[in-house]
Amino acid sequence: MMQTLDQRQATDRLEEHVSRAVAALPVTPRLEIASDLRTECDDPSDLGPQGRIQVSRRYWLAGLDRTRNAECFEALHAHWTTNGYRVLDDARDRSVEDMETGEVHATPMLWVEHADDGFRMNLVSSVRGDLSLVTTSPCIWPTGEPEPAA
Amino acid sequence: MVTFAELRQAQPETYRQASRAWATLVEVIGTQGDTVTSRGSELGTVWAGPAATAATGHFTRLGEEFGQGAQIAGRIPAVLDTHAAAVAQAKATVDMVVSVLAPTPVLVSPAGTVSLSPAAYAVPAMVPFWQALAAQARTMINGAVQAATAADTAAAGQLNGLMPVATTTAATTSSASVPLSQVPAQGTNPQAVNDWWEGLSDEQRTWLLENHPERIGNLDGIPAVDRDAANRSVLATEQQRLEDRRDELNALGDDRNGDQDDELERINDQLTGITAINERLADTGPGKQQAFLLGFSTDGNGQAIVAMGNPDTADNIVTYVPGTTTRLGSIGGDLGRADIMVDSARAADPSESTSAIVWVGYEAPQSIINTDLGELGQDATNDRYAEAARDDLDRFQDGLRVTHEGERSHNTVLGHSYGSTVVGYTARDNGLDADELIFVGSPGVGVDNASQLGVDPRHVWSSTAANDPIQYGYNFGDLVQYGLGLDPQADLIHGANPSRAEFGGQVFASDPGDPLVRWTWEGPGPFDVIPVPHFSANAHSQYWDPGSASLENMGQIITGNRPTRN
Repeated sequence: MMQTLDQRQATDRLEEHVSRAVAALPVTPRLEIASDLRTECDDPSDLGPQGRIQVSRRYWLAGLDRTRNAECFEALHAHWTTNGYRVLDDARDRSVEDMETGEVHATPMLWVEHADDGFRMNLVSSVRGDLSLVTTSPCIWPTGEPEPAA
Repeated sequence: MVTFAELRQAQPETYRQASRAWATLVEVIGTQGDTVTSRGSELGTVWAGPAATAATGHFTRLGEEFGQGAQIAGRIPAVLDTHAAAVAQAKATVDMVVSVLAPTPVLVSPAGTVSLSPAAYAVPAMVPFWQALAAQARTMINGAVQAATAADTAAAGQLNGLMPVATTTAATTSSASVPLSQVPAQGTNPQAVNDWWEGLSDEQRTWLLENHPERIGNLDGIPAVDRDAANRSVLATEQQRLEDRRDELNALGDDRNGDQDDELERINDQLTGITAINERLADTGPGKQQAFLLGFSTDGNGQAIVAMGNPDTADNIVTYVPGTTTRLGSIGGDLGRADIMVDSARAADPSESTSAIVWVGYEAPQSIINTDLGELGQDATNDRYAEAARDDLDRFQDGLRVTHEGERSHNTVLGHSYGSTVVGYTARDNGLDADELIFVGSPGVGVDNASQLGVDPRHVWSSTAANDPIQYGYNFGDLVQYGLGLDPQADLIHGANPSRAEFGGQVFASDPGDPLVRWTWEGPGPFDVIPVPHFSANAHSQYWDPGSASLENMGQIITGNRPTRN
C-alpha cells in the first residue's frame, strides 16, 4: 500500500485549498470554523485496507452580502474549473421546500475534486443563505504510511 | 466513595483554606457574642421594667447561643485539617504510582485501572515481572482510594455530628434508597418509566444512579442526562472487568485453549469500541457537540447508543441504525458518521440544533454471507436479526418523545444497509414514531410499497449509489455483469428496492461512488495482456463522504427540508 500525506500535511494542504478558494471570491469573507473532523475511511464491511482516515473542515463564510451569493458561486466555479479541479456535482440550481410551511429556499451547492491530490471541496448555501465551504482530504494513513497489521 | 480520578484531581489545599475560613468565622462569632452580651447588660443601666428585663434576658440568651455556635464551629477547622492531611497523603501515593509507571508498559487508565500494554509481552521472561508490578500498583492505588474514602466518611460523620442541619441531610440520605423491586424492568413503557422517575426525590434518583446505574442506563423514558451518567458509570466498571480478564488471558500465553483465544479476541474487540466511546465522550472542538451515552452493554457482541448533542433539547433528532458487522467493537466509524450528519444538518439550517444518535441497540449479523457450515444462514440474508430488534428500536423512539423538553422535535430514523431492514421491519410491524424515514444502501425494508410502513410515503426517503453492489444481489457472477451496466434489481433479499420509483417513496440523489469493477491488464513479464477485474464495495459506505450529495441531502431531510433539483 502506497504512502500518503500524513495527518498534519493533509491539514496544511486542506488550508491551502481553502486559502486559494477564498482569494478567488469577489468579497473577502470572515472564516469561522464550523467543524474540524477526522473520520474513518473504512466501513467494516468494506474490503479495503483498514486504518485510513479523512480530515475535513467546514468554514462559514461570514460577513458576506447574501444578495451576492450567486456571484460567489460563479467565481468559485470559474476558479475551480480553471485550476485543476473537476466538478463532481453542479447543483447551483438546487432548492429545498420546508416540509412544514411549504416555503421554497434556494440552496445551491457546488462540489469539486482536485485532479492531482484528490482533495474535495463543496460550497453550499443554508436555507437562510449562509454559505459554508467544506474541504475534505482523500483517505490517508495518519502517519503517512500503512500501519503494520496488529 | 472517593474515586481514583477524583483523588488525582483532589486539591487538599482547598480543605485547608476552608479550615482557615472557619477559624476566622469562629473568631467573628465569638467577638459578636461578647458584644451582644455586653450591650445587653448595658441596657439594664438605662432601661427598667418588665420589657427591659425581657429584652436583657433575650440578649443574654442570644449571647449564649453565639458562644455555643462558636464552640461547635471551633471544632470544624481541626476536622478539615485532618481530612486535608489524609487526602494529601492518598493523593501523593497515587501520583507517585502514576509517575513511576509512566515509562513502563504497565498502564494506569484515567479511571485508575491498571493493565499491561502489548509491549509488556514483547519479552516473555519479563511478563511475570510486569504482572507483579501491576499487582503491586493495584494494591497501592486501592489502598490510597480506600484511605481517602475512609477519611472522607470520617470527616463527613464528624461534620454531620457538629451541625444540626447536616444531621437532617444525613437522615435523608439513608432514606433515599429505593427498593429495587420498584425499578421498572427493561422493556417497560417509556411513559410509565418517566412517571416513576419524575416521582422520585432528587436524593432517590442520585442514590439509584450511584448504586444501581446498571438498572437505569438502558431504560427508555429516563432523561438523556441521567442515562448518560448511569451508563458512563457502567462503562467504567465493565472496562475494568474486561481489562482484568484480558490481562489474565494474556498471561496464559501459549497455554490458552481455543475458547480462551476466542474470548480474548472478543474482549479486545469490545475494548476497541470502549476506547472509541471514551475518546468521543471526552472530545470537544469545532463540530463536536457534547456526547451522551444513552445505552451500553457488553452482552453478546456488545451494544451502545451514543448521541452527539442532547436529544432532549434538540430541534431535530436523527437516529442512525448501522447494518451488517455492527457491534460495540466497530462503533468508532459510526460515531464519526453521526458527527458528520450533525455538521451537514447545521450547514443546511444553522438556526436549528440537531442531535445525531448512533443506535447500536441490536445484535446485527456479522457477515454478509456466512459460509461456515455450522452457521449457515447466520448472516445478513436472515431477517431474524431485524425481527429481534423491532421492539427495542420502537420503544427507544417512543422514549425520545417522552423525555423531550419544549416544542416537539423533528425526528428522523435512518437505516444503512441491514439497518434499513431493521428500520423497515420496525415501522411495518410496530409503527415507528418518526417524522422521516431514510434508507441508504438498502437490501429491502420488508414491504413492497412505501405506503405499508405507517409513515406518510412523502416522508419515506431512499438512496442507493449507482455503484453500490447491494442492489445487484449477491451472485458474484452477476456482479461482473451488473458492474458492466445492468439495471438495479426491483426485488432485493429483504423486499422491494426502496430506491426505485415504483416503491412509492421519495428517492434522493447519491453520487455514484467508487466503480464497482475496475479492470487492469496484467501478464507474464512485460506483456500485460490478461484482463483482471477488481471488485470494490466502497460505494456501499460512501453515503457519508463529507460534501457528497447524499450527505447534504440527509442534512436537508433531517432539518425538515425536502431536497429538489430544478
